[in-house]
Amino acid sequence: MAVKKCIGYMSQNFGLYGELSVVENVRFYASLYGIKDEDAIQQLLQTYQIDQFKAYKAGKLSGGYKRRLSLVCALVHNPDVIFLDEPTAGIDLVTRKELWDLFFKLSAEGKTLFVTTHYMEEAERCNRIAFLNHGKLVTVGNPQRVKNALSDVISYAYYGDFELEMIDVLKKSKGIVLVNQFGKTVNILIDKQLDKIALQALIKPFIKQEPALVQREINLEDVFIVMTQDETR
Amino acid sequence: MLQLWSDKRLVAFLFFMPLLLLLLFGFALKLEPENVKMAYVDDDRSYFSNMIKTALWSDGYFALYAVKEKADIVAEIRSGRAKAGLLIEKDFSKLLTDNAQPEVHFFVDGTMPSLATAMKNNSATMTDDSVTNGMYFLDEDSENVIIAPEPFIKTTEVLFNPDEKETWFFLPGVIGVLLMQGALILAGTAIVREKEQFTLEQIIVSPISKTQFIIGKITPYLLISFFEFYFILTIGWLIFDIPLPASAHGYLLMLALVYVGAMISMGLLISMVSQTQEQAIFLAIFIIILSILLSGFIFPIEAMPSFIQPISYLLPFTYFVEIIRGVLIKETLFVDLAMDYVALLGFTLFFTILSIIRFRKYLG
Repeated sequence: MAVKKCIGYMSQNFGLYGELSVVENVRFYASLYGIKDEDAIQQLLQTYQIDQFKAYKAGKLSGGYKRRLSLVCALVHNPDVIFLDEPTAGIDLVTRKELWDLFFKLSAEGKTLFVTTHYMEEAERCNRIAFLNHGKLVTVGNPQRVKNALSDVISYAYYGDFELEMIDVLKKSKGIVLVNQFGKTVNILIDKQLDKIALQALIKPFIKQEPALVQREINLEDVFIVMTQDETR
Repeated sequence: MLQLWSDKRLVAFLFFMPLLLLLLFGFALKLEPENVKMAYVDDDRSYFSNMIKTALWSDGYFALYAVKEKADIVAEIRSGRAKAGLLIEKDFSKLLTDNAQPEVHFFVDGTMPSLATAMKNNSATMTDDSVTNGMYFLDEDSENVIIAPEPFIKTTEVLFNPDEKETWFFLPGVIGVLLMQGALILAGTAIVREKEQFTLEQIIVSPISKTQFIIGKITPYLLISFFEFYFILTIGWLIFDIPLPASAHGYLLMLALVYVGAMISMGLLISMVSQTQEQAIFLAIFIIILSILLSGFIFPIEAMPSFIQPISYLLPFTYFVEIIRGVLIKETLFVDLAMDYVALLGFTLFFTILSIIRFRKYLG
């Protein structure tokens, strides 16, 4: 019970009463924590820029404002730890940025935010990340440390035309850790033992010329896929 | 179609419910009473009076048992132990042989909608030729005596509702039906809606306990249903002139408390076992229909096959009908209704406990 008073939770699903107005929702959740301070509630609505809609039915709000309202309801008792369950799933980019600005503001105020997300660039913004695969913890640490898990792997980006068969052949070749295609770009992660020349030799038959390979930094997405692909297969 | 099919439970309801109700109507429900408990006083104790009782008994409509005196007959019917009564007075045989057309008195519970009418028709069997003919030939050697075309006269007294007002039959029960409808659907959708809208998730992480949450959810429904009970009762009293004996107030209050309790807790349980609001509403309507059919509200329980009767006693509404008719119309003594009150209270506790167990399991 004591723990529950220190935590806030923002559900992935809009877990609020659609038939109540914005301010009624906030008041209700405040009352669950024994908070009756109307000024604080109004202040919170202002801080999170939702006060202009406070008389609206919560169910009628746009997706972005629903998230804001969920956040306000999660923060109404000023918790130390806030759990955010995929707070930006299905949200437009501008709103996503605004939400993250709010998260950083909260973090700066000394609050601990616990965010789940499928977006690795969002995960990269966090101080400490953990990968979960099928409910099991795969790795945990700060982003740099997590990336270090692939310290004996080099990543190259190939730009240019190729036959699709190339992807399949590369995937099956020895020393190739991961092949990840983004339109006309292919990111290829290779074992350090396999060098650039060997990789070029593998690609050459499919493009009939010397392939242009640019070394790139390994990102969290690479790490996550490599770490989980064996189990997922 | 695909969407509907995906909710297998709802599809099962859709087919199972009509099937069950059809079978009930086809096999189980009869307006004709059977095995109606009949308290009798036979002060004549003669060959003739036995003949009448045997005719009644063998007909299958009535199950007779003896009581001491006329007042007992009324008391038995008032308590609900008997639905009908028979009185054969002391000088019956004498008046019969004197060709003076003695009376045979029948009594019937006027709060039973179909019984009173059926009684008047069905008790006719005892005046069948097979019975009355026997009365002509008491002594085979003696000369046949020509007596009146009807050797005795049958009178039927409708107790508690002498004018046989139909509103008195139905209205008290209707109060319970309307209340059940409101309570089951309101409470039935209460928790399942919180599940569907994910608000339950949000509530569970707050410091509110499970019990607080449930109490918070059902208190408004309890108050509304309690108010509704008196609201409907008042309307019935004002417009349809149903009786409201002075003795009834305390008993009505108790009834309101236990019945509203049973209905809301039943609704709560429906809400706990349902996965969607549609399922909850279906389940609620199913129970309402079953209650109307099997509670004795319209169809006498005595006339149902013996394997159906236990179901009747598993429905809280059965006890409500018994109590409200007793309290408003028959002025039944409290002792005779005490078990019905206890049953409703028992239902309340049972449904509440089941709901809590189910809720714990769901959250776990």
